[in-house]
Amino acid sequence: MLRYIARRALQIIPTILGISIISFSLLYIFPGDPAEFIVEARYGVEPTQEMVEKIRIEMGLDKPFVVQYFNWLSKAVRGDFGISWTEDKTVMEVILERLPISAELFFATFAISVVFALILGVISAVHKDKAIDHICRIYSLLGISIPSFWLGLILIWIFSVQLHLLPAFGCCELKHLILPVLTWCFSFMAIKTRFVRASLLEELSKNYVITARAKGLPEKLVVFRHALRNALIPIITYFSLSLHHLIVGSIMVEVVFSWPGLGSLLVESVFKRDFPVVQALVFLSGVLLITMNLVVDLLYAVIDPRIRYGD
Amino acid sequence: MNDVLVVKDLQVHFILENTSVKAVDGVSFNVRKGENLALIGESGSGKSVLGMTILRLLPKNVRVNGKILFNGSNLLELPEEELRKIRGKEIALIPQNPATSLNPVLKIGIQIAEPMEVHLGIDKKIAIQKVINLLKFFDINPAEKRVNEYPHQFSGGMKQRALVAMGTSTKPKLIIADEPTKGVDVTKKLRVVELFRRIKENNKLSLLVITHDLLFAEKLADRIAVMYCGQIVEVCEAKTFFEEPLHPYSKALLDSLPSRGLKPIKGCSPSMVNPPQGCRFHPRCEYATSKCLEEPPLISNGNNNVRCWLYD
Repeated sequence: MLRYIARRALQIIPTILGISIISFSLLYIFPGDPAEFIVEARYGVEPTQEMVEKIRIEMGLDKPFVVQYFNWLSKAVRGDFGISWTEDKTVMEVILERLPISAELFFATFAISVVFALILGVISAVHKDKAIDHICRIYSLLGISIPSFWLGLILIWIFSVQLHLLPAFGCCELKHLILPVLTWCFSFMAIKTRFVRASLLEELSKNYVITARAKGLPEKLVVFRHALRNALIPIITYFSLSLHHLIVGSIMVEVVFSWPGLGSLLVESVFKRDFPVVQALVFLSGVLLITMNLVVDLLYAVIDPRIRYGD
Repeated sequence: MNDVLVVKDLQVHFILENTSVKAVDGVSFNVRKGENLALIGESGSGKSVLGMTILRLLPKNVRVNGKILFNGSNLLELPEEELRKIRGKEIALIPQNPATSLNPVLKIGIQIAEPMEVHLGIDKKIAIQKVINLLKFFDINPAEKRVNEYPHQFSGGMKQRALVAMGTSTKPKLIIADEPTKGVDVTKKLRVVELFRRIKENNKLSLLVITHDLLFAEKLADRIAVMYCGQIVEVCEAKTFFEEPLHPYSKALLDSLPSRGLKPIKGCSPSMVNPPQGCRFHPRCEYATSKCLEEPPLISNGNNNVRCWLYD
């Protein structure tokens, strides 16, 4: 098991290197001269040739691309992404300020949607083709087809503008959390509910379920101990693969609800051309995703003994 | 009452959109206390469906008529919860395909212990101890280690023995074994026969073996019931069946054995959606007459019951 963890951990190094190259290159992929951006971003004036040359040497932008990349990478792995071009803080400080705010939204959404997708999916599968299953399926269809920015605006209109029950935007109290989490869960859960239903139904049609029923086990044990445990293998894969939706979706939801988290920070930084922040956010979200995938791989091994011993 | 199980005029029809598949169509037979009854027939004759119907394990799109009497109560009318108490306790099923019939993510020991925990209320730790003894009894060694292993660590034969151990653990009155020799090498078949004999030493149980393997049936069975196209065409003592079969299908089946000339039966198995009128075997039968267009009843002839006009 330890060897398995070590091997999987080593495998992520090349991927992280790839992500670092892409995030660093962003600076050059954008049209225009980075040195000019810095002058604009920092002083807010039309850059002169002199200022641009000075910045170029100061920031090491005159060195070859590869040298610049390695300089950046060697600092990045230590958590140093340089100084923000627009604020008088290090990039890390800027990010850490916003991180807890995003994390709150992120974890609330993820936890709630996983729990409810499992509950609804299991109910739907166990009561296949009954009324409650149809309701769950109609919900899934709506959740998949309704865009979350639209739903967000509608919810704001209903609960804030008309009913004055909840604040339309702002942050950091529970009442601020309700609308964004609701909006986000509604779409994030929809496909998951269907997926749980489909996986469980597939497992329920397998031979070992007939064995379990033939043994005279109560249906509860047949579903939860036998079928659901097997269904969890594809479910965990799918849920973890959907995490990137959550990262991407955070941008939309945070903007709609003016939630001052990392999603909003990314959008602001792109508009302000604060590239060190953009680079750091792209790199870190990539690393985050890969780490989550690693955790998922290890979770498999806990659930599926065939993987554990296949090593 | 000398019968453990009595099946009366059983019909099992799978309802499709505009037709129905008559997998079992008017089957009656009984399983006596302590006997081995082999239900034989070719693939698709409805014998596995029959086995599954006894414990009501079929999907919901199935229409079942008739009676299945066990201990005087009709299994087909029992409430789900009552039936659950019979499944795995009074009547155990040893499923076909050992490879897919065990849960891949649960330890073998836990799976074998489940019937004892659920039906006998035995504590899990004690149940696992009993499982270890069962594994030893069925030559799955070293049992203390094997009990904590998963199905993918077992060979095919071991999985089958594990399923047999599971079925016998609660000392049921009747075991239904569905194709126990499916996928078993010819060289290992005697071991399966020996395995089932070994179960009987400890238990006073009846065995309903569903198989298409005539040699296996000959070694194990006391009586034989032959199924053809959803119907039982002949029921008799095993000895009689292999020496003097009466029904033309039984004869043809025996003649198709390698040791008896390897003669194939003419034609194909009939459709179960539109079975032939009258005797279902008549289109392939060399003795067929015009009378065979009428459906023959099960006719008593000495020790045999045979569904054929030749013995009227």
